[in-house]
Amino acid sequence: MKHDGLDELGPDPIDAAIETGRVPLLSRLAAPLRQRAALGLDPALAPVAVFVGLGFAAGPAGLGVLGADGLARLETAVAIAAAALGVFAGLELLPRSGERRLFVAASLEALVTMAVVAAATGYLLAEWELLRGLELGSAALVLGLAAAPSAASALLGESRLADLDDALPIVLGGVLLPVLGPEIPPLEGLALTAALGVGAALCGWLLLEHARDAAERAVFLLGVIALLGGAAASLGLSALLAGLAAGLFWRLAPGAADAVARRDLGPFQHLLVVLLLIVAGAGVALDARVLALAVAFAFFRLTGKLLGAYAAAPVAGLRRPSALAAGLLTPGVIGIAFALAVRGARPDADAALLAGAVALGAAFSEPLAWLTAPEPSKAA
Amino acid sequence: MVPESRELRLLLVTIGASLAVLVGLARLRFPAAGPAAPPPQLLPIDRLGPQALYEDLVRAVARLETRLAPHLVERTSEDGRPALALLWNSTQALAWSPLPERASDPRILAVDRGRGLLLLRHAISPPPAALAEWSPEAAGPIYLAAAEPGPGGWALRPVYVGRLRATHSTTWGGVLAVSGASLTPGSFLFTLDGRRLGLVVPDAGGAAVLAGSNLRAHAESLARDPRGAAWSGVRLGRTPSEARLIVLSVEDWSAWAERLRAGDSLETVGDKAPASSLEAEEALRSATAVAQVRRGNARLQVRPVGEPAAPGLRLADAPGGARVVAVAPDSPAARSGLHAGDRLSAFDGVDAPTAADVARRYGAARRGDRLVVVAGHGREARALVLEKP
Repeated sequence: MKHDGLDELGPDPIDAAIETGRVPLLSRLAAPLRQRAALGLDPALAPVAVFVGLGFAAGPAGLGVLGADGLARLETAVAIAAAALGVFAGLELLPRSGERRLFVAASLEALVTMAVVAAATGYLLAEWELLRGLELGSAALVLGLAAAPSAASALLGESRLADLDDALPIVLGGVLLPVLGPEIPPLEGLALTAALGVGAALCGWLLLEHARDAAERAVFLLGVIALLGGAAASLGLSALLAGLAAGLFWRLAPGAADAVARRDLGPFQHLLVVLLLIVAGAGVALDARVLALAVAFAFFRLTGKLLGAYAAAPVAGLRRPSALAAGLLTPGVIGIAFALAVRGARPDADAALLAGAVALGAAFSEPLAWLTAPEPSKAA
Repeated sequence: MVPESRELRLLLVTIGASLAVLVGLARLRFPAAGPAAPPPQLLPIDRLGPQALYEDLVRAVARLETRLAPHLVERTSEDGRPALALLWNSTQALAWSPLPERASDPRILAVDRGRGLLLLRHAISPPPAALAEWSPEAAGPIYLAAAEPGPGGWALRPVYVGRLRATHSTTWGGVLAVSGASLTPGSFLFTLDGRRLGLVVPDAGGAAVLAGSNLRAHAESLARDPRGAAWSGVRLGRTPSEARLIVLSVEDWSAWAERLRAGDSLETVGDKAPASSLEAEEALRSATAVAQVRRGNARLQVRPVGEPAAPGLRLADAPGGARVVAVAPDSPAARSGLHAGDRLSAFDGVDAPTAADVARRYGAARRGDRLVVVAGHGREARALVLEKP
């Protein structure tokens, strides 16, 4: 499967770095748990089910180690983490040589997944009458957008396609979030978010280019990321999209801002992903409604990914859509970050229900991804 | 790139299974949700105020219920449904009703039929401590408590109103638009500390909050104009000792303009000493009212300007056409759209009519006749149809 047409596009440099041929036994055993959360991230050990479960156990509904107060204070950190993920995505967003078809295929797959999950969960939300104020269409879109991103498992070859399917949900989420939170019209919200991202990136670029040493650059970079996340959360905008715009700006701007961002943010990626997963898990108020919606989310995400893979496979030049779908099933933390952002922008019972369902649904999706993963030979 | 037959079968099986699961899941039913509880976590960074734990919310609502008890009055609306009124001062309560209330109801002091606001008589002693008002600048998002009537008495329900945004309403002036909450018109909203209040009113097809400051303005206007349409144009007030009724101002279009002056002490209207400023203002609307006032050391008897020209219509002669000095509510003139202060430039074909012209033409018309009236205010002129019932 790995060679289904993807060879024509050249090896993925990140996959190449994994050196799958000489992995030690322990690493091989941990391989199903290694995945990357966004474009530009190296595979890291961050299984969604484990950390969401840990978060739930530590949260107010579990042992209460992480109380409501602590979670409220972590909100800022969550927004900053989302901005950092957005920056990673922005730095790698531009399709590499020969990847245009792959980018189109990934976006098509994300769109189909989004449509399937939104339609199915929208129908169920209407039947179950679970919403108390949020519009049905908006709620369904939130679930669809949260379902679309995939994490590229270290086991599989379709990692680049799984990476690229983050871009469209980040942009659409950036349009939807200001509408749900501060009720900013979609285009205005998009423009504001992009302006925030580019403005902060411009400041960062000027600072980074004139920094005297590495330590100063690191401080400037972290300051810009904090500004991106904090300002986006404060204004009810998408930190993910603001980060993506900033990353893209640094990628296109002359100088070494993109390389600095990659190098200095890299060591924090695992921490950021784990933080998001734990906060998402801690925020789950487990009841029958959340559980039912999470099951529906996970199941129709599976359906959506399969249908999306069928739509994308001909574009990407792949012959086995089912294998592609199996490679895209691992849930992306971008979707969870988006659901958390919705809950941050609109702290009501509906947003809590959706965020809980997305966190649990993503945790359910992961075992499905392992179960449907192709033969072990693919890992080697 | 045609999918293999195995792939096609898998696709079809997946679609079939998905539809079956969808139908199966749709049959699930959940118990009705309780009061909208806040999520137990995550306040956005711009709202790191007091944490909104559900237990805290419940405690705050319970405290508020005790505090509001002296202020809220249960009543029955015209259609028999339980309704609520808010004690406005020691003698009056305010309410909103979707239907025009019975004017004969002795408890109703004033009705604004256009908006549905009612001023009710409700004496209480001693008066409760005043509730603060609520300015339209209030921002959200916040949790509020909605006081709603029910068969077993009124109850407070915590509601998350999303955001409160000041907007302009053609019906109410400024209102606070709300999002993310289901609110019932006629219920009252309070902040959890009970220091701010508002009335839920219908606006632009949805519910909006009429903030306390705006509600007070409407209530005062209603108190001045008990029938909601034909105020005499005279504002009255009590002296600090509440011994005398004093004329505060007289509008220049009023039938009492140039008859009463600010500072006059009103002793009687139509041989009766009015008990309240509301009662006096009501009496001053009468066509035959004769008021006795004290102006300095002099005691004067004054009559309103103008004369009755048609049922419910008082006119005063003026150059360029008679001036409308009073229009009785629910009269043919009021239904035609005439307002006090209008100048008639034509009436049933007579240009610049006098009050006597109008009375004559109206008297000559038959029942059901529609008389064309051209009326205006300043430079504005509009054509109206006055139908003789």
